[in-house]
Amino acid sequence: MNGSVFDHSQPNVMWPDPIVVDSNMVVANFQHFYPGQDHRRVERARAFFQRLLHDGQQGVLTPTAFSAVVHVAVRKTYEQLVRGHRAELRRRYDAQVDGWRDVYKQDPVPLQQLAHDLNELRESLVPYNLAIADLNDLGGSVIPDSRHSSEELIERMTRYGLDSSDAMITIEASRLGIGAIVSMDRDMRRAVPDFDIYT
Amino acid sequence: MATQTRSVALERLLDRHRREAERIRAERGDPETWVGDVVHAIFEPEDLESAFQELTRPGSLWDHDQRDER
Repeated sequence: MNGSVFDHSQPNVMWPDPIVVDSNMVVANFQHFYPGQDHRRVERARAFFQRLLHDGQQGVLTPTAFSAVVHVAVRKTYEQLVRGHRAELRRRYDAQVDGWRDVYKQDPVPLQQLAHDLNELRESLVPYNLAIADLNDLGGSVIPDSRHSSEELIERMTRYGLDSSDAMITIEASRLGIGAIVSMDRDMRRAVPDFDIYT
Repeated sequence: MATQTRSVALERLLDRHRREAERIRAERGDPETWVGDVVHAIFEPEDLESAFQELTRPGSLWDHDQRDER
């Protein structure tokens, strides 16, 4: 196929059902829960999720996109620990602490303590009609000549000019048989040879 | 608009999702009334802004300074 780029916020634009949702849409929607987050994109993401919630439209979060969402939760938790406490953390770990990765390398406990919050985060996505795909869901490929995913990853990265995570999301979408992705990342438009991209 | 046949795996995923979504809505109600608490427990406002920038690097289509691009 040869896809197109659409503006999902236009009332006359109907999305395919289901549509793969990129992680940046999830984070932008989270922003509306803080007052004053008046970026245009926050309103656009909120409107998209409201349509999922109220109009029966179905979104799908692939394993790679879900992994990106939980990664930012972990990263931000460690960044909160580091903020204003570098000297104390250097003393505690007897190591250089310049950023969140330094604390992560020294101490897995803050991540382990996130179990409840991460499970809550996952559960908060589901009622928005956002289905979180399992790795097992990707096994029943509808692509007759699908190759080893590692070969396919390299092929897509180099054909689209997309980095690995975004290219992997397109592979997961294909394995699910979904030909449309909604994203606020301009890079994702490079997948238009094979996908309809909603922005 | 692209049209593709739904795979058996996709149908299974969507069926499983519907059941879980119905259970969560029944237990917790409208997500707009409680998801904010989940978000606040993990993220501070500046965390979400920087997370969005990291996920869309090198740039979002919909930042303030790019609103006239399209």
